[in-house]
Amino acid sequence: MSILSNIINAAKEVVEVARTTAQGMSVTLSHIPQKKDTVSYPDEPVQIYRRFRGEHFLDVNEDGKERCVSCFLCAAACPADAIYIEGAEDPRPYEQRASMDHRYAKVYQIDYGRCILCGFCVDACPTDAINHGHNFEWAVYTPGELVKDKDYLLGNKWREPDVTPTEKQRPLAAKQKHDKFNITLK
Amino acid sequence: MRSNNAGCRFGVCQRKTDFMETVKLTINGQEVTAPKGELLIEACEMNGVYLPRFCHYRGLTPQASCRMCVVRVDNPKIPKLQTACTMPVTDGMAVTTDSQEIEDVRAAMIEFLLSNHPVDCPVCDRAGECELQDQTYGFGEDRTRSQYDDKDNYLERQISPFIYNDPQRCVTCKRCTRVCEEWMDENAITVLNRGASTVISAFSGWVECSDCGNCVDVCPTGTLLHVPYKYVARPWDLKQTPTVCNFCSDGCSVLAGTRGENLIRNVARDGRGRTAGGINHDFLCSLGRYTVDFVHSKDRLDRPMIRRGEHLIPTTWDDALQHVAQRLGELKAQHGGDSVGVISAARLLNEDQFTLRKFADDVLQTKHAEYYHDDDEIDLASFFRYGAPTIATQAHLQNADTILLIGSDPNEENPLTAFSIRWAVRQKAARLITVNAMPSRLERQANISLRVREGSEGAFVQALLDDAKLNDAAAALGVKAEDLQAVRKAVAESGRVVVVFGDELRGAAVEALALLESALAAPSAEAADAAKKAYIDALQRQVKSSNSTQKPSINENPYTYIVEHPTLEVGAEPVRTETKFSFLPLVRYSNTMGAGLVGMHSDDKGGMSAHAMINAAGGGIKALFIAGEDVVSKANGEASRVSTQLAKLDFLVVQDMFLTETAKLADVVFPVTSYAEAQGTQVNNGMQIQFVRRAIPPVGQARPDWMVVNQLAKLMGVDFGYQGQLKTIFKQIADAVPGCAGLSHNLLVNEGATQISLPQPEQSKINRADVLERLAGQVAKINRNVAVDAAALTAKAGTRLKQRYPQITQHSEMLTPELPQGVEAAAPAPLVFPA
Repeated sequence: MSILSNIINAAKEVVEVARTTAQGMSVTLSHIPQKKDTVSYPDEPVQIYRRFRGEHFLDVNEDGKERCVSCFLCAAACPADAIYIEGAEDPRPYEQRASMDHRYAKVYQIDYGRCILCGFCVDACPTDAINHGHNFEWAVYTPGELVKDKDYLLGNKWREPDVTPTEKQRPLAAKQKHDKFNITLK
Repeated sequence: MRSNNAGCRFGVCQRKTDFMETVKLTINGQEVTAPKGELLIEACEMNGVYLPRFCHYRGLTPQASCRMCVVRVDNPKIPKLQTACTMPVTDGMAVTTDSQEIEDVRAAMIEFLLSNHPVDCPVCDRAGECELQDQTYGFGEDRTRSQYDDKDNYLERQISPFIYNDPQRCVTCKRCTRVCEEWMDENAITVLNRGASTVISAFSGWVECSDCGNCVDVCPTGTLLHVPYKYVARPWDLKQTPTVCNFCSDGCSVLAGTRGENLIRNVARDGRGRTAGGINHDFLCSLGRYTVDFVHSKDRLDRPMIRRGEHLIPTTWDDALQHVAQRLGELKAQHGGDSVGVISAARLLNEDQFTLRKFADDVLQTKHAEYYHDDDEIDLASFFRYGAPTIATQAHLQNADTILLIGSDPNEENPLTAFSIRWAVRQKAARLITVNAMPSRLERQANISLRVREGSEGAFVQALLDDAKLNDAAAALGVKAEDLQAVRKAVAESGRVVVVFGDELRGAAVEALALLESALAAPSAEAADAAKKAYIDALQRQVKSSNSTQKPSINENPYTYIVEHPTLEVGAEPVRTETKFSFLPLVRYSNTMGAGLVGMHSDDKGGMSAHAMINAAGGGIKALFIAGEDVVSKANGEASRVSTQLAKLDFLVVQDMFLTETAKLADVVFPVTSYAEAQGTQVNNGMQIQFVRRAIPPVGQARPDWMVVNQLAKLMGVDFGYQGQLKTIFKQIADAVPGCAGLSHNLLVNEGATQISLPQPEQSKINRADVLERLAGQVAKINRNVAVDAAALTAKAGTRLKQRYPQITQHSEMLTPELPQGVEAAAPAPLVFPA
């Protein structure tokens, strides 16, 4: 008696397992032929959105002079205390100096081990010197390498990837036009 | 203790009001009380109503040029808005400070000020502590109607080694010119041009002054900026640590601004109006303010060094300490404890001095331990021989009826004392009498100034004590007898007299000061008041009379600006002493008083003085332990002799911040902390004990002086029981030192400067005849053939304060600033508005 019921129960279990496995796998297998949303980074390049906040770059003005006047407002706004600046004076005339104003940043460092990419520094900047770039590939072997200096950040502007909206992004941009904010992307 | 104070907005500048007469007035419908005669703007602030202001500054004469503090006085006889900074409070006054009308006027004033102001806050160093910024946010509009390009376009320029000037940012509040005139009596910085083209400048274009930098600190905008601080940091980045200056014996409080581990600047007042809360109100001198860079000098010692043959080799702390403990132990066993001498610098803190004294007593068992002092310094042992005469603090000085300045030039050596004297003369109609061989700028404020023969100042004390010897004393001093008589009369009939004396008073003359109290009895309160009133009346007649062109031999001072006004008081409350005379000895170093107080002198133990120890080197003294003093550089003209003496020693240990001339001769050098890294207490010349806070962590491997000595003692088998805590040391000091009982670090942190009260001299114990006889002997020795020649002494003046700290001032680049190109050749032309 007991042996028979044991066999029946075992058989029921086998059927149940087979049924649920098939049910689960049907979902999984049904996705295989579908179009993928994931990108197999780093074998394939990823598409970055224009308003993505990546590694910063320091901007220069139309004459090629550094925009930063070392006002320390970005450092003051930074909630993670990631920005370190030392100001200095360059008394030379505008044509000879590297910066827009005679006050310039002698040292400008951002510690990407601390930075949370909130963008407050960009909002705070009165001269539009600091901007978010789109680079996010900053894996390093030692934490010290995450501290980026001024030359690197100035160079970031020229390393910027092309972020013009792709065909894939265009419908999204068009959709945003009809959002409640009613913003038109140019 | 401060419960009866009417607190100000910031809670630091507190003044007692309970002894003052008060009046009742109504501010915005609320009935409040305020001291009688108080200015309305201060009365409002005391009662929690802040009125915006640019030109008003507590401690400066009213100006009423910015019109920001306007209020409506509800009185039909006063139809217009009134400036609260010039209006004294009266009983029953009703004031409105926050109507729509007043708000409109304030916003309009701000708009006018900004119409010619470059909005360059991102590059302006004042941003963050700018009063124009704050008040625009608080009371201004968020837009302007005057956007035009042809704003006054003066260029930013440097006008002194320490001051940067950007005339465009000026709101012409004239705080800086008033500070220069009233606090410093220099009139170096001034206002040029009129109307909209008014600029702050100097007559020659280049400011020739003592570089105190107070004008920069009080500036509400970025018009005047510190050159060493230019573009270096932002005020919101700085951690402000209230600590005490280390240079002269006045002991000013400073706010040490630090960024990370760097000391950036010293100010007396940060941009939000918060003072360091010390005895100096908002005043700082050049040395205290600008000599901060030596702390991070590249020459600072960062590791202990040990002698290997000819060279000093960096080593570890353990190695150096072991070596010193072993060698000192050997020498002590071989020659006895008295073969080792201990010399400390008088600038070291009480905790350091006390530990060194204990080290000498308990570990080395030597009686030779003393703080380094020259023979021509004030002889404090004589001064305190019969007990402690009343010591005057800066507050006593500011409220004195008569100030007697004997010797010294506080302008150079104790700038805060000079400030307080000027203050008392200008605002409280104190009578200043100077007795000096050297010319001093303070003579301009003096009611009577006696220019005496060099080295004869003791005769002046004799003249005060003994009327019969007045003519003789006059001959010794080289002054007219009637002038001396006038001084004696003025001192005799005056109520409270503060005697400020310097190095020039020697020997028996210092001792005889204790006799003044009995020789010139205090007049009754009515008589003293009458005398002061008569003096003020005479001054006012002098100021009013137009035909007083003939200069009398006694200088009747035309500079006095008499305002009996509580608002104009600086710092502490008016204080009254029990005795008629109180004394302010202008000792040389920041903690000379404290070093003597905690027992770092060998008088009572029969030990040698520091000089005697150096002279006995190689003989009775086999080893020296010198803490913080550069005895070679300090030996005037005898440097080679002192270094030869030191070379004779078997063993020399030096602990200092730098590799000084003395340290170069040492067997072991320990790196120790500077005043910004040390923590402890120090006692100023007014016997006020103050807490020195650590502003930055020690540079390199430097350790505090007391810690080095404590570790040495441990290695030599004695435990001082400090448990590694500074508080425990001070507890031991409080137990051991009379007058310090009941004090603790916690108390000092909360209370600020606390005066140590010591027992008064017992007049009965003083052997009058003996003191007077010795004084007469001293006076008789004065060579009366020497001409009274101030010009010959002028060359000596001016650099004395800097010479006292060779190891610090040699390593401060700020004291020899790099001037912009061609400054000496051609000073910039004064700014004149283009026609």
